Amino acid sequence: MAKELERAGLPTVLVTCLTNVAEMVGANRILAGVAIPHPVGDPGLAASVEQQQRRRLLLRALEALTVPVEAPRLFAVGS
Amino acid sequence: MRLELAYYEIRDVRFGGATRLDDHVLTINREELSATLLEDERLGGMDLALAHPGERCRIVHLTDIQDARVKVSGPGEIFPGMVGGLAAPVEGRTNILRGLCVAETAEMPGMLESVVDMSGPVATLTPFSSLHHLVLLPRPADGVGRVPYGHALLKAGLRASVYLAEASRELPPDDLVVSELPIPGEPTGDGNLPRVAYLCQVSAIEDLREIFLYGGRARQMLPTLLHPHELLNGAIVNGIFDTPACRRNVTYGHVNNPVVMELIRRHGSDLRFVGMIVTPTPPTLREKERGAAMAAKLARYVLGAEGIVQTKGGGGHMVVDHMLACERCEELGIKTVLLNDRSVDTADIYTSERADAIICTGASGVDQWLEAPAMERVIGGTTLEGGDAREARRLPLTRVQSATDLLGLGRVRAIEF
Repeated sequence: MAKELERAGLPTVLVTCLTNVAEMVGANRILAGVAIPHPVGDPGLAASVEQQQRRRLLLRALEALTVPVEAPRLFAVGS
Repeated sequence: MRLELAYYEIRDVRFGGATRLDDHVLTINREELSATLLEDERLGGMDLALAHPGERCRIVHLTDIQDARVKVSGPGEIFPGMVGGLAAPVEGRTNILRGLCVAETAEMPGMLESVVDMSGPVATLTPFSSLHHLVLLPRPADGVGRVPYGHALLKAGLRASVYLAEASRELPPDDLVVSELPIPGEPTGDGNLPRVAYLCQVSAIEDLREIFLYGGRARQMLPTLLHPHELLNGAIVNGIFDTPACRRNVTYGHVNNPVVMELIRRHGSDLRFVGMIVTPTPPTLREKERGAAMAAKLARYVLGAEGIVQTKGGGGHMVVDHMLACERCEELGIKTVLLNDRSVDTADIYTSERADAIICTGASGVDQWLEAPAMERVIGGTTLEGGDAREARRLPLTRVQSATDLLGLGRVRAIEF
C-alpha cells in the first residue's frame, strides 16, 4: 500500500516493527515501530510516558515525509 | 532414553454406565466426566457430545483437538505443567487411544473459525474426519473473562484426554512403538550417520495467541531444548484461538508430530536424531533476530546438528522467524529444510536465498473455496461465518482444521509438475 500511495504522488511513511519485511517489499520511508500487536504504542508503559513516546514517533514520521528518498531507507526515533 | 507408545484401537465410542474400554469400544460415563471437568471454577457448564466418522455432522467453533493419552509408567506425567506435574516425562510407557480425539469448542469474540465435517467432500480434506470425537461444549462461569475461560477450556480438554485414556491402563495394547533416543552427548557407535535436529517454531504473541510449554506461556521463553519424548508426552499444548484453522497447530499435531515420529523411525538407520529445539515467535524484530541466533547456536554447538528440519508455528509474520533461523543455521554450516504453507504461486512476505529446500504442506494462502454440503447435525454452535451452519454453503479452505497443516498432519500437499 505504501508503494501504491507513493506511486500516486503521496509521500508515505510506513510505520512497522518488521522493518526487514518493509525493506524486502520495497517501501521507501520505513519507520521502526514498537511490536506486532501494538506498532505505535506500548501497553507496558505508563499512560503519560506512552503518550510522549507516541508523540515522538509521530513527529519523526512527519519529519521523514520531508526527506527525499530514492530507495528504501530506514528511519527510527532519534536517528 | 526409552519411551514406549502403546496404542489401543478404538472402533466405537458411546455414552453409558461406567467408563471402560472393552473389545475396542470405549464407553464414557457422561455425568462423571462432566462433573470432573466442572471442578474448574472458571467453567459454569460442560455438555458433552459424540461425533463419528461418516456421520452427516459438522463440528464448528473448534478451539483445540487432542487425542486421549496417559503416561502409565516411568517418571513424569502427561501434559506436564498443565494437568501433570513438572517432572520431565522422557522414559516409560504412554498409552494412546487411536481413532479417537477430544475436541473443544467455544463461542467467544476474536476467534477465527475452525470446522471439521464428518462426511462429504470437505471431510476428505481433514485428518480429523476419520476419528471419533468427544466434543466439549462448555460455558463460562459468571463473571469469568475471555482469557481465563479460554485457559480453563484448554485444561478441560487435557483432563478429558487423560480421563479417557485411563480406561486402557490395565489392558494389553494393540500396537507398540518403541522410541530409543540417546542423550545427545553420549557416544552411540553410529558416528557416521548424519546428525539431524528438529526446530519447532511455536506461536508466542499474547494471550490466546501462544502455546504453553510445561504450562508456561511461550511469550516469556527463549529458544530451548526439548527431548522429543517430552513433546510426545504433551510438553507443548496449543493455546491459539485466533489463527485460521489451516495454520493452527492443534495439540493433536504436537503429540503426534509427524516430523518427530519420522525422525524417530529413521534414527539409527540413515540418520541420528540428536534432539529438538522449541523456538518462539516474539512480537518485535529484535527478539526475532535473537531467537534465530540462539536457535542456530543451540543446534550447532549444543546438539552438534549437521542438518535441521524446521516447522512453522502459524502464519503471517512467523515466516520472518522461519527465514531468519534458516539463515543463521546455514551460516553455521547446518543444512536446513523448511516445511512451509506457501506454494510457488503465493509469494511470502519475507524470504531468504538461503532457504533452498522447502517442502510445501499445502498452500493455505491461496483463496480456495469449497462446496460444503448441508448436514443433519451441527455440534459446537449454530452459525458458521454468519450463516446457518447446517445449510450447504461455500467455505474457504482456511476454515477447515488441518486441511493444510504446518506440521505435516494434513492430507494435501503441493507438488511441482
